[in-house]
Amino acid sequence: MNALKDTWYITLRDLRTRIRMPIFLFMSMAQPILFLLLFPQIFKSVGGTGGSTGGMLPAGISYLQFFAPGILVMTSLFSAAFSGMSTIMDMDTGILSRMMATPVTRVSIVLGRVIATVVVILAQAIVMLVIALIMGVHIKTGFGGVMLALLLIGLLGLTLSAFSNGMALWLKRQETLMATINLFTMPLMFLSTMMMPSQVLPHWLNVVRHFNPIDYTIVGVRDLVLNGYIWHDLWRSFAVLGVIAVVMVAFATLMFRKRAE
Amino acid sequence: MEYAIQTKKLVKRYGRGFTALDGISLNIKRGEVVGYLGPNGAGKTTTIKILTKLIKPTAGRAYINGVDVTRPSKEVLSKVGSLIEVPGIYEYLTPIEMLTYFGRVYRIDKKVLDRRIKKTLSLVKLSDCEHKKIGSFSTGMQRRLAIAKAILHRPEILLLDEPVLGLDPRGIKDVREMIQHFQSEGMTVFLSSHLLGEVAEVCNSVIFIDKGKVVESADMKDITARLETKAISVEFSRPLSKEEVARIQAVKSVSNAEVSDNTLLISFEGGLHTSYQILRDLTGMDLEIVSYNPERMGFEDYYLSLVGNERGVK
Repeated sequence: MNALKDTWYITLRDLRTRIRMPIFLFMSMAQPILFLLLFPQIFKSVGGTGGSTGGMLPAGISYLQFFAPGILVMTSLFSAAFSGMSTIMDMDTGILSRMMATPVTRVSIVLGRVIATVVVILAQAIVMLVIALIMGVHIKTGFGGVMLALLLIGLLGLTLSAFSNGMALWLKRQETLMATINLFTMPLMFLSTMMMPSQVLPHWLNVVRHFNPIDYTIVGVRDLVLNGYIWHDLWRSFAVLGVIAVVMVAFATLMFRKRAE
Repeated sequence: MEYAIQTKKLVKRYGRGFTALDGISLNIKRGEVVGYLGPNGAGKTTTIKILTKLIKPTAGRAYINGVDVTRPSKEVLSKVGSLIEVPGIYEYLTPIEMLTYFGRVYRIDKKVLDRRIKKTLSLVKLSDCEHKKIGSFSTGMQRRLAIAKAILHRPEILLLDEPVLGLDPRGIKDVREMIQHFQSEGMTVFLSSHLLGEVAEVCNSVIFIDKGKVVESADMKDITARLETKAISVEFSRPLSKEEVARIQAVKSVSNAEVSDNTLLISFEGGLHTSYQILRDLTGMDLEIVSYNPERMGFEDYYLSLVGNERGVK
């Protein structure tokens, strides 16, 4: 019970701080918005054009329609992956020490930060979704599908945020964390079907993406946007992300406890 | 006897063979205000971090109210308030918001929390700024807010690591008065500081630490008695002749007499009693004495005689 209360208080405190830094919230969405505006133009010819030559997607599916789910996942990726930077700042300014010198439950310090990140990610995903809808994206599964998509995105956010915070507690320096996160996020992004359908990817990449949690999220969200409720894909996405999320939260908690030594 | 704070042969080693604490044993009674003095790198902050469960000792034990702090239970921290190193400010929160958050973490009842926050902010003289963002505060205000956070839950024990660091004289005076107020309320205060004058003003007893070991531990009254008079400055109504100076140098226990215009600085061997004897001898010489000032060893000199250079300085 104490752990739940402490997590709630820490989540609220974190959210209050973030809301008072609106520039930070906007900047973390800037790249996905830019990609959403530019990429459909750059890769216009990839879109299915009902029999026209050159299209790689099924008929009636524009590149915007194909790419939009990937952008929603990208928003989660960038916001969550760098959430550990705040933890390092808290360490450097003594805020973390202050929290640890209180009866607050240790796991709640990690969970509170991670949950606050997920809340922000979901808010950002909703904003991106609205932009995508305005640009003409159609969601086949409607409101129900949107809720499931947000759940998948939130789960990915939780996974990556826990990982980022665990790495922050381990590495303890902003420059090192930034370099490490970049080392992970860029390959994860490109070793997936975020930008291109699986049919045009080389065989080795189609093998590798099965080990990429980002791709499970993209597949699940894309199905909900384009194809409907493909439960086989959805259950698999939820299961894989769920397991990795638990592992990452455990990792972050372990790093947190080790820090006390 | 159960002490408020107790450590038994506390050892802390870091990688590559650096020993921060080398068998520290402390016994601090309830209600005492104890100063913990030592040069940079002596182990003061390390000791306080162990007592607040931020780090674990390599060996030895540490107790707060008889409870071993190295055990997993965090509830012992509900009796402890602390200010450790950098204040750790929440730039985008107001004092009310920050203290509300900590009040909840310390499980202070909602019904009393608002009133307690107001009272605490009043004590640290931050009532006028309760709704301003902490990021706009000066160093002194941040320190006072950090102290507010440390005492919000009315702890029995207060651990302060360099509480006056970075403060101007006004800020130092405010913190001194706060510590005296906490003492009057029966709190046990354990504070580390470099400002010897402040420690001498507020502490009942002092522990000197150097290179991870306790060098000296004594009540302030005993230390004050030990700051022996070693010289007397005597001003006469007229400059003394060479013969008169020679007569004074011949007095028993006088080791040296330096002349400066009408003033004579007399160095001697012995304590306060010896200086009284010298005064009696001087008045017996029929010399017109205008003023007589025993010069005592300062607390700083005493501190420097006990602790050496900072660690890392050859």
